[in-house]
Amino acid sequence: MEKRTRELMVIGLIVIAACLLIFGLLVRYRQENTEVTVFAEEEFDKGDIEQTAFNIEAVNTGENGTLISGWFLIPGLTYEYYNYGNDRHDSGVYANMRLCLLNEGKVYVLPTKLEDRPDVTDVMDDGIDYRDCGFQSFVPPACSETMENGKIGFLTRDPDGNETLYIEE
Amino acid sequence: MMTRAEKMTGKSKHTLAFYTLLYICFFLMSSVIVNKNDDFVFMKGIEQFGSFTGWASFFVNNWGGRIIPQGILVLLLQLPGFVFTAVDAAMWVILLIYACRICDFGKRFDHRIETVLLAIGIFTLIPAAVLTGAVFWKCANIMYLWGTAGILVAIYPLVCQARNSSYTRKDLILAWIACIYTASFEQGAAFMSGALILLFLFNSFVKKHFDKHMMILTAAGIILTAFFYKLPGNALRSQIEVYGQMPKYDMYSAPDKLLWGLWYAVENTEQFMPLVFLALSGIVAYCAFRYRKEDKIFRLIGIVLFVYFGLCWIVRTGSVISGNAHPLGFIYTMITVDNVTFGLNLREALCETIHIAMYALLGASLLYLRPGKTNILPFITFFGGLATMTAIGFSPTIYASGARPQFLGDFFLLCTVFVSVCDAAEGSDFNYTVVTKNVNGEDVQYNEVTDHPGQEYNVHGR
Repeated sequence: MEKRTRELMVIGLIVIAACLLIFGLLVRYRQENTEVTVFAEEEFDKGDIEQTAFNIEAVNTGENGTLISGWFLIPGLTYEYYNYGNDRHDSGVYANMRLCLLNEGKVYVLPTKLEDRPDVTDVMDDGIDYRDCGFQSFVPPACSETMENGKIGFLTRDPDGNETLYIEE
Repeated sequence: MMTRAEKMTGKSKHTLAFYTLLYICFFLMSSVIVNKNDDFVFMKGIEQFGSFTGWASFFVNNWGGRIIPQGILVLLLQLPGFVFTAVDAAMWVILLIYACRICDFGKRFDHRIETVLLAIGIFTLIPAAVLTGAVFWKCANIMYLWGTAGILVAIYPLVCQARNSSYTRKDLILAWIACIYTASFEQGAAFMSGALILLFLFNSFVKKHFDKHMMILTAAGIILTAFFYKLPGNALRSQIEVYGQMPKYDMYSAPDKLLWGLWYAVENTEQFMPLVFLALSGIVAYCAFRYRKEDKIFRLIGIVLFVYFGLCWIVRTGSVISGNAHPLGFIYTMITVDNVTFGLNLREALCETIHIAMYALLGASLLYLRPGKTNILPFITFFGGLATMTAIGFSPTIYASGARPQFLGDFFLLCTVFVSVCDAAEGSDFNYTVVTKNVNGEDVQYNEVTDHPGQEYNVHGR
């Protein structure tokens, strides 16, 4: 093969590989941000909703779906650690929660993103920085009926990967 | 009239004087580094855990795989301060010597000028925030500065082979020492392993020069990197950083973290070093017009890259000067996963895809600045440098570490510019002579540019 052709082929393959990689990443990103995953309710361990604190602050419905925002935390639940870098024993929260809709024995896990809510930490005032306890969740139009008829739940995951479902009464 | 031997001695004296002066400069510079933050904790490491082995045992099980550099720091901190300063200054000199060797200026410049140019490049083009965090703090310095020097020393024998020259036994011994050291610094280890693999494959399959010593070195680099990375302290440290720095970090999937890392790499380098990409695209365009006069495709690639990264430089610099977002900034904006919006804006996705494609095109074009000559080094330093920054997406300290993790990326992008300038330089003294064996087993030499059939360009003929 002529050298020039080979050079162009290598350049072309590298560019195509990069495009495919970024395309794949963006498609996956969009899926995780917009698609609801459905599970059977019995698949999850149930937690006591009384042990949690939460507030649904806003529900905004638009053409593309509904946005639910609020905050969720389990008061007093922290994990101890030793930070060798500053030689301090400390503790911190672990934030891993997805908002769910429950209807007819099914759990619809919504795309959820967490955000810092220093105001909630201030209100709790128990010496713990709850940091990323704020959430925004997206309900696609296809799930709007489920949202109207179902209950709200919170699916949490602890650092060991154990999932617990808290269902609103 | 001086004899040749006397002239050589005179030259050696000048070289020695130059490097002694350079060492003194770096000694003075390093002497301003005082203990701070984690340095005090490492200083009392032996006292706290009873012995050095006690400290090492705690460290690998609870705080990470950087046992070799930080173990050396623990030992150095037991000694008077000037010892660290003396070793650190030596590392600066080693970094510059090997960077110049790897950049291969040929004989266009005096090597002392090369060294000074590179030093000036490091201290002017790499942002001050990066330098402050990475090389003016002992705890970071032994990884970012010493580790970067380690990468260069470790890959040097393979670079020699890629350039059709030979390495010495001393080079090989130093490469092994550097390889073991650098493997214990995960960001540098990833770069080193990638570079060793690519260089070994390039030498074996493109240059047709298989070397079992290099195969063993490459394999050792990969195995050591995996070994240090798999030490239990790394996973525990990561979990500690999640609790301490970013409790929501585990909500992100691996593809999300990769996107996040790309955002970190591109945003930071374009914001703080936009000139680098302008320079590289300019070199590609120059080479296309200078050496491929009849080749419309390569010339088009050169023009597209120069216009794209030229506009990028205008947008990024314009934003900094005006203090406001540039109206054309959306072209170069990367999607950040750390937000509370849902879905994907089609325009943003398209811009990001084009953006990444342009980076790929730029990096790939650096392979073939000269017709008929494949130079893998700028390819490695370009993509490797960006990859070290992208890797930070997989760490919960993406914000907490500040600008520090950019050091490797910034340094290797700077090296990419130097390597590419040398590659593009007209009339340079690159050694294109390949030594190989003929069918009778005899050593023969040929020039890989001029002696290849169908090669229209003669590098020595100009």
